[in-house]
Amino acid sequence: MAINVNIDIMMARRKISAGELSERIGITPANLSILKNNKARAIRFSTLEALCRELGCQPGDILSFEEE
Amino acid sequence: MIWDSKKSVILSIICTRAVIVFAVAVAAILPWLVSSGFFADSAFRIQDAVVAKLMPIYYVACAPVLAALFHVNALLTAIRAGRVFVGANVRYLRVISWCCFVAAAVFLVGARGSLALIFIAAAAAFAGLLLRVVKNVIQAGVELKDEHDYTI
Repeated sequence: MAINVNIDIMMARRKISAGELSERIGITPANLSILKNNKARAIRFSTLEALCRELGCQPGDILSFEEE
Repeated sequence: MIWDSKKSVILSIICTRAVIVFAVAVAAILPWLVSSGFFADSAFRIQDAVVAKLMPIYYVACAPVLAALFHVNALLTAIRAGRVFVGANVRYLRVISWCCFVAAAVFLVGARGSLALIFIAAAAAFAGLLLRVVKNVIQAGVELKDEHDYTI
């Protein structure tokens, strides 16, 4: 997929575990795992907003575009 | 008794299994029924020559029909378990559809001018075509479900 989700990098920078993050943003650990592993087809603005809020970052820090 | 979709699926499973048992039982005792003159003496008064002509068609058509019935049973069992828009169901429907086309071909080849068998062949081909459409609908449903499931 051309869009990469870099949550794990931000999580490592903020020193936050997957379980804690999923609890804070209100999604299941399984869904967070789908996001982390780039398996997601789409991301809701509400989820992106919660991620940015909890990780203290911009959407561009979480998502990146890569030529296939 | 309140009728609901779960009971409807259970009824469909029972009917499918009954048809499987009936088809296998008829295949097992058909030669005996013919030799005992069952068809000639029955209310239908079918001539032995006609039955003898139909017997090989029945046995050849039995293979795709039973394959289709077993897949219908598997499909209904999956629906009963709540697995509707899954890839396996698309495969089941594809197989059932092809079985209908194969049965239609068997009846068409065996018809040899018999209008009744040509009608049965046409009905089987039409059923196969309808099932292909249902398969396409379920396939689109599977893709939509995937899209929904992987939207976080």
